[in-house]
Amino acid sequence: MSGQSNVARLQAAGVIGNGPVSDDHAEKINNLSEDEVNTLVTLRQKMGTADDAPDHLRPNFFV
Amino acid sequence: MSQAAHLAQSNSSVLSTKIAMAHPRLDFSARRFWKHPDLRALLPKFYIELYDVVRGGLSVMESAQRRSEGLSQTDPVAAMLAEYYARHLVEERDHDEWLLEDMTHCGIDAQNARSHIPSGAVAALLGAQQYWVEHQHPVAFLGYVAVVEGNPPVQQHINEIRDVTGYPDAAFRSLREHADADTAHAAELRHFIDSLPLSPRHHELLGLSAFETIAGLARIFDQLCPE
Repeated sequence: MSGQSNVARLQAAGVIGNGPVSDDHAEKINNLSEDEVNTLVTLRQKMGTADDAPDHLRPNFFV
Repeated sequence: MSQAAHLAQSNSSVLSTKIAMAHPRLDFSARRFWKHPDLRALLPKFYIELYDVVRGGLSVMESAQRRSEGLSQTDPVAAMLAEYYARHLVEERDHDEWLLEDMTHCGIDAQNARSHIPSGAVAALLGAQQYWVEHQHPVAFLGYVAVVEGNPPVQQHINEIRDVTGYPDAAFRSLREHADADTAHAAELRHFIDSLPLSPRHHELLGLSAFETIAGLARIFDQLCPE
């Protein structure tokens, strides 16, 4: 355990922005398990320095 | 994570927050694929992977339904899942066959698509789900479903892909059907997830499943157009 809050860890890793985080959002994030946070950090690392501009409406895989 | 913390927030909003934080990873790889200068050559390869994912996803959903049914006498979440998966399996029936029809319009031989060996990336994506369903809890598969149905395509983008690739509109029936149907499916899924009496462990499993789905789908896109 790093001793940092989940919000701080995810901000440091670039998963979420460094701006203010609403209380509701912070509560959800700080309730994440350590495994969940680690996975999010790993996913972000795989993107390198790319920005994370959303483009999620293009075709994806489906059930 | 405390039960009280979860009771204050809807189940679906907790999961949506998690997916929103991870989704840029999938967007990153998907964007690179869909903007590739030789998309016409790549689209048939995408369809073959998609066919494997659809077919394998239905198989995992069948497993999740059976496992839920088996647990349903003593597990209220599993009892609700058994009904949900059974209903969803009916809705998704034959989608793999529709896709085969679309593929023929891109010059893919349907028999080859049926008989080829799926990639390791597809096996890893669906194998993770199968493992969690069998060895943890069938609620895990909802994390997968939430990702794949949570961001349906829009018709405008499908038109762009048709125009860029030059394939006929008949090659895009499945994508168009999902663009329309998955919006409703996603809303239904949110309502269903909100109705489940989830424990903190269920929440964590849903999150990890969604993250692994995003990582797995991104890996498939990456392998379709390596740098």
